[in-house]
Order: sequence, then structure tokens, then C-alpha cells
Amino acid sequence: MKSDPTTLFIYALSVTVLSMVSRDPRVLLALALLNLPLGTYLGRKRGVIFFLLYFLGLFGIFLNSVAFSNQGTAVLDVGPLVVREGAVKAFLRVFLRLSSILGAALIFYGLADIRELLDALECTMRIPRGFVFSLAVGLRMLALLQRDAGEILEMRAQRGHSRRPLTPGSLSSFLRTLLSVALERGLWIGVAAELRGLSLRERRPRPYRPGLGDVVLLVLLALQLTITILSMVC
Amino acid sequence: MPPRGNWSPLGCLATPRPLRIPYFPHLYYHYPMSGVEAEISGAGYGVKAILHDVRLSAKAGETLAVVGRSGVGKTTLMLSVTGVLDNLLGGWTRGKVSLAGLDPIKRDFKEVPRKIGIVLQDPDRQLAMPFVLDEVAFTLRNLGLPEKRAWGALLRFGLAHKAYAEVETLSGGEKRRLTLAASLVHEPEILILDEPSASIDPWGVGDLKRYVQTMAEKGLTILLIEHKLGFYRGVFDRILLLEAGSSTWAGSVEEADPRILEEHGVDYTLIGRPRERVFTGERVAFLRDCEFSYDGFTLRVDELDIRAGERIALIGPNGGGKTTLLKILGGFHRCSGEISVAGRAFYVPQHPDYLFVRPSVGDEVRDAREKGGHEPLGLPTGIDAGSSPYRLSHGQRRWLSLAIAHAFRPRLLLLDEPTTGLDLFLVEQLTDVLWRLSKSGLSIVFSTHDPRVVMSLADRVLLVADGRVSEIDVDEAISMMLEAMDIEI
Amino acid sequence: MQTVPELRYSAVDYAILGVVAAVMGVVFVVAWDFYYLVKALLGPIGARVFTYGIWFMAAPLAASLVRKPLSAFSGEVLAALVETIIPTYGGYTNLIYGVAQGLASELAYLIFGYRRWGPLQAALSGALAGPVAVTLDQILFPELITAKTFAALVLAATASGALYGLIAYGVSRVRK
Repeated sequence: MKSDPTTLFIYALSVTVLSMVSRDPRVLLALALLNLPLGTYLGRKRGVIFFLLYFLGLFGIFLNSVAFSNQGTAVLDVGPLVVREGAVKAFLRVFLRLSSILGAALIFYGLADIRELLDALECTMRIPRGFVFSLAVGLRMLALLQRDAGEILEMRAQRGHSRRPLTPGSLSSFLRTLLSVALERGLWIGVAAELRGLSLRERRPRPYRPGLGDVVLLVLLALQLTITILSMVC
Repeated sequence: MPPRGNWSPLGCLATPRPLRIPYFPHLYYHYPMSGVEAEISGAGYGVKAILHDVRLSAKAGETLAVVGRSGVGKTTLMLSVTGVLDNLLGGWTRGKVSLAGLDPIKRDFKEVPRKIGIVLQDPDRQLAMPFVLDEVAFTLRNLGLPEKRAWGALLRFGLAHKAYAEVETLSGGEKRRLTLAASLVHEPEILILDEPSASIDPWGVGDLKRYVQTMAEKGLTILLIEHKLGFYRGVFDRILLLEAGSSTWAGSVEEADPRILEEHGVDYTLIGRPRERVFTGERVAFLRDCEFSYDGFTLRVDELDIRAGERIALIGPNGGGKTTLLKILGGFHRCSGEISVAGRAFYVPQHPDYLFVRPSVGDEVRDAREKGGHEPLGLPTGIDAGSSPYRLSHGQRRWLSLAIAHAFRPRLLLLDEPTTGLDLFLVEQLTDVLWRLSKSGLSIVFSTHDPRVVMSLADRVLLVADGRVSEIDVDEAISMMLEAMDIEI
Repeated sequence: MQTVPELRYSAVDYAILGVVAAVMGVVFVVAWDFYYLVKALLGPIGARVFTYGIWFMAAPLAASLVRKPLSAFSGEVLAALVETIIPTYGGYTNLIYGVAQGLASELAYLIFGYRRWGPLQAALSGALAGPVAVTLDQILFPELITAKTFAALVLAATASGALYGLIAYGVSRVRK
């Protein structure tokens, strides 16, 4: 099933907004049940560690729930720690909300081809060509800079500096090197792009023509929108 | 209109070289004057002039090499004649420039892309798109040409099977070919190459030369900016020598005096100066049955001994495992088998910038002294201690990286392509320093694509290719590299 | 620096905006495991307090490098788009935060008439993103942010934003 990146973009963005504004746990459950399993399946190439870390993060959400929303009747009493109803409810709501947001992003990630996305941003969504060029350069550079970053961190260790640039000082030091290398590249990429006619580029508008894959996604989205609105009205 | 014959975007594939029919017949009729003419009486940024008096002339179909040592203004000249200096970088040019009949500096800057193709030093500083096909299609879409033509260019440069691959998965040689494909796909009249061989292995240089030669035979006007002229012998008609921002000599290749060229830092003869061997018997490091794998690539070293004062060159194609071997010796990669290094090993990466951690040169030196425990190597005069290390010239940065390494007093110095981007003089200086250090007992392992550096520095040569390491004779190595580059001495 | 603001972006400007987006993406990857460790131990609120300012750096960094109107906004949105596409756990919230923070950060340069691009503006640009980010957090985690913590978080985010804005400015001078 093939979907237009435009549809996927609209879908993921809308589901995220719906999840952010919904307060009703039933709606959040519905959104999460729709998006997380589908997203996990489609986005499985993201790797096991990605999902493991996500579930590790749940522990933190639980701690925060206990810290900030521990009201109501006690559900669990383990010595000094008393978990109350409010904390459990808060935890579940936050968990469901984040899950549908992640699910939607993974559906997008699993189905959208980056090449087609760049094209759709320019031709269908009518984002200015320069901005799309920036994004393309950003994505190209990301792969390059990840390699640079690894190298820089190894060299820092060799020189007796921290491998984890987390303090403001070491972050500055790390960023100076990374940015210096990246800016030199950026400058020349810009010069070459101009000499290859970037400013002559004209948009080739392409009307949005939804196919079966798009219709399915849009129906799913309409369903979630209806659920959310109904819960707010009723 | 001239007859177009059976020309088609894919025509270049169907017709083997050499082509009798001019490749771009229609272009000649539309633009009878498509060379480059420049009379520049000054060019630079702000109050600083980099070019003073340059006369450049390449007639249609001519191939011109602009030569001169680092920092004489070769790149500024390229930026000036394409109009980039004035229109994009906020610089200025005084004088007249005509590029394929256009005035790139004032009126026609926007039209320049239709007429020229440009290939820059480092593919990573040119390739803008995340995917191979899009890089070529980028040129076409910008110029409003049919994007289907991209396939023809990819096929011609042997990249069609990687059309949908991410650019970052290509090897250095493939990236270089991609820049050529993306610069020639719109059939420009003029091809400008800025040190295109700086980042590729000898085999890539051979390929590049053959492509350039083909383009020249097809009637393209070619402008090459280079200090390693020796790599391109037989390819170019004319030479323009730049000296401190002015053109001082122009003429045909036959008229050029190799001695004078070399006096101006232009590599022509490609003969290195062998230095005496100084190594002693004491073993500094050894590897036994060492194996290291990553991303499906395995490097295997059966046996390697490194003795004090020895200088070992690693040669071989890009992606063959040279850097991996250096990093194993540097302790960055852990390999199975036995490995031992007596004392400290220090690795200096190909981009010296990676090594810098401080905002100024003075701080860098102090930091190296403090963390390394010894006095760093002295820096050449002319480097301001208050300057940012990232603002130094490439040669100065290379020097600073060596100075830092020296502060750690390693027994084993590991250098990843230490001479890339350095001109003849700088290479001489560098090899001199390395020779002096090795006399004091330091062992040096360096990777290189430059046969001259092998000639002047290597006691031993290891060929690292396809994950295997084998020792070969120094002379054999040099002739192998020259042969790959298609150079006869 | 008292020049009339230039509006048109050149290819080099666009490329540098792309560089900023990629650099921020890499910073995120480098700090990745640290961030998730903190998140597991101190929760999303704790993780945010510790890393707030880093998220606001793209805008002042882009503006300090490309001194043109809307550069702060574009830099922030591009960085957010890259994070959305990778994707990170936040998914499309990245984009929503990016647009809102980018607009707030842009204000720092707008109120100076796009004539000043110094450390003060960079710090302000980072600081202004703070309240916006915490407000969005309040929408995303209403269960975890009480009125009292809200005020404290705004304060923390603003201060941290100003600090990292300054760092962004300092780093942007690397080739100057």
C-alpha cells in the first residue's frame, strides 16, 4: 500500500495534535491502540534499542506521576512509597498520549520515502524551494556529521578530554569543531548549488491526487477526529 | 540548424570512444565563442586584494591548467571568473571577464549555471542531496531540463546501479564520479575542476583523468585548478602559472620548464627525495592474527612488526582498510588476536580540525602541553597564538596537529593521509619534520595516495586492500601507484 | 553591523541553515543516551530541566550565522523537521515545538529591527523560547505540571535558554 508523503505528513501531524489536546482517557486509549501497534510494525526497522529505550522511559514517567499527581486513594503501599489513584491515572494518560504520538511518527517514518517527501514538500505542499533545499542539505549533512562527531569524540578522548560533551564548556568545544567542519562544507555546497542553478529553479506544481493508501489513512484520521470531537461535546 | 545526427541523452553509451563526431555539435553553432577570457586587475574581499593582475585565456575547446602553490589565489580566481566572488560571497572583482560569452560578474551571473559544470576539491563539500539520483536530477530540475537525463549520466559514470542509494554509502571514488555526473548532465560548454584529485586514490585519479580526457576530446573547454600538475600530464594543452595573486607565465605544456614550475611549488616531475633509513632493531609494536569487523567489512592482519624509527606507508584503494588499521594501532578499535604497543600511540586524523579542542592556537598549545606532559613541536613563524585554530590555512592546521601529537611523546605516530591538500613545499617541510622525528626513534605509520611521499619517506610499504594487508617492495608500490594513475616516468 | 537588513537568501544561506539543522540533530544523537538515562531516572520533566537550553540553540545559532530576517525561525523549524523525520520519540511534537519556539526566538531579532545579531540578541532568543516550550509541555503533560512547578519550569527554561543562546553565539564565531 502506497501513500503520498503529503497524506502521511497530515496524518501524523493531526494525530499528534489530537493526542496533545485530548484529556479523555478513553479517547487517548483509542488513539494509542490505533497508532502504536501499527507504528511499531511499520517502523520496526528503527531497531530494537529504540523501542527498549522507550519503555525504559516509562519508568521516568511513572516517577514524575508519583511526584506531581499523587492524590486520591492509595492503590499501592510499599513502605515509604504510597502510590495513589491520581498517579496511576496520570501515568496512564501520559503513557497513552506519548504512545499515540510515537506511533503516528513511526507510521510516517515507515511509509514515507525521504526522496518522495522532499519532492512532495516542494511540489505538493508548496514549501519554498530554498527551504526544501536546506532540508535536503540538512539530511545529507546529518549522515556526514554523525561520522565527524564520532571522530571528534575519539580525538577528544585521545587528548584527555571528556568523550561526552555535556557541560556547557565541553559542548562548546565539541560544537566548535563540528560546526567548523560543517560550515566549510556548507559554504562550498552553497557555492556549488548556486553554480548549478538553484536560483533558476522553478517549482513544478503537482496536484494532490490521493490513491487507495491515502484514502485509508484519511479515513483512519477522520475516525480519530470524530472520536475526539464526540468526547469533547458529550 | 546543424544536423543532430543520432544524438540522444543515452547516445554517449551507445557510441564507444573515441568519438569522431563532436559530442555537442549544436552548441558550436549557437555559441561560437565559448571559451574563458579574463583580464583581472584586482579581486578580493573588503579592503584585502587576493588577485592583483591576472590574464587568463582559454579558447573554446582548449584545456587550461591554472597552477601555483597553496594560497596564491587559484581558488579566488575560480570564484572570480564564475561571478561567485561578487554575487554570492560579497567580494569584488576589477576587470573584465567573459565566460562562454557571458558577463558573470555583473549582468549574467544567473545564466552561468547553464554554461558551466563545476567540480570542487572534496565531494563532501559539493554533494547537496541525500540520494544519488537526486544529486544529478538537482542540476536538471534547476535548469528546467528533463529529469530522465539523469539516468544517462549515471550510466556513463558507472553509478546507475546505485541510483537510489544514500550518497553517504558511496566510496570516495564513487562520490567523485557522482560530482562529475552532476556537473556534466546538462552538457555545459565549460568544465571547471578545482583540485579534483585531492581526495581520491590513485585508481580514482586514473578514472578521473580518462573522463577529463574524453571531455577534452569532445570539445569541452576545461579549466583545471591544481598544484599536482604531474598527475595530469598528457591531458592539458596549456598552463597558466599564478604567483602571489598575479599570472606570471602562460604557455603550452611543451614550452613549460619543469624546473621553473617546481620552483613555484607545482608538482611536475613527481620524483621524491629518498631519505636515509634510520630504524633500529627494537620492536615498538606488533600485531598477530588480528581481526576486526564492522558493518560487514573485515580487516585481517596476520603479522605486523613495527620497529623503532621505522616509517611504514599504507597504500591501497579508498575503503580498503587503511584508516581501520591505523585506528587499530591507535587503540580505537579492539581486534581479536594479539596486539601490543610499547608506549603511547597517537593518531592524527585526515582532517586536522578533528583534533582541536580550544578556541585559540595558544590555548591549544597549552592544553597539549598540560595533557600530553611534554613541550609541543614548535610552530612555524606567522601563526598568531590568538587566532582560532580553525582559521589557519590547511598547511598550518596540519602543522598544529603534529605539534599537538608531539606533546604526547608517542612511540608510534599514526598519520591518516598527512599530505592531502598540501603543495610541493609543504610536503617537503612535512617530510623533513617526520624524517627528523623518526631519527630520534619515533616510528611512523602513515596512509597515503601520493607516490612521491612513499618515495621520500617510506622504509616499508603495506598494501591494504579489501580487508587484507600484504607487504610489498617500495619500488613496486610506487610503480603500482603510478600505473594506477596512468602516469609514465 | 548597522546595515540595512538584506532580505534575499542566497544558496549559501540556505546551505548554512541546513548545516545548523544537521548539527543540532547530531548534538541530539550525541547526548542521546544521557538524555534517556536522565529521563528514566528523573522523568520527562527532569530530563527537560537538564537539557532545556540545548533544544533552543538552533534559532540563535542560525541567526548568528545567517544574519537575515527569519533565519532564527527557519533554523529552529529545520532542526525540528530533521528530528521529526529521523524520527525521535517526540515525533511530530518536535515540529510543533519547533514552529512555536522558532517564532518566539525570532522576536529577539525582530525587536532590534534585524540590525543587531550579537550575544545579547542570541541570549534573548534562547530565553524567549523557554516560556513557549514550558507552555507546550503544560499541554503535553498537564498531569505532571502543577501551577507551582509551572512557574519554576518557566524560570529554569528561560535561564537555560539564555545560557545556551550565548553558547550558540560563541560557537558561531568559530571561523571569525
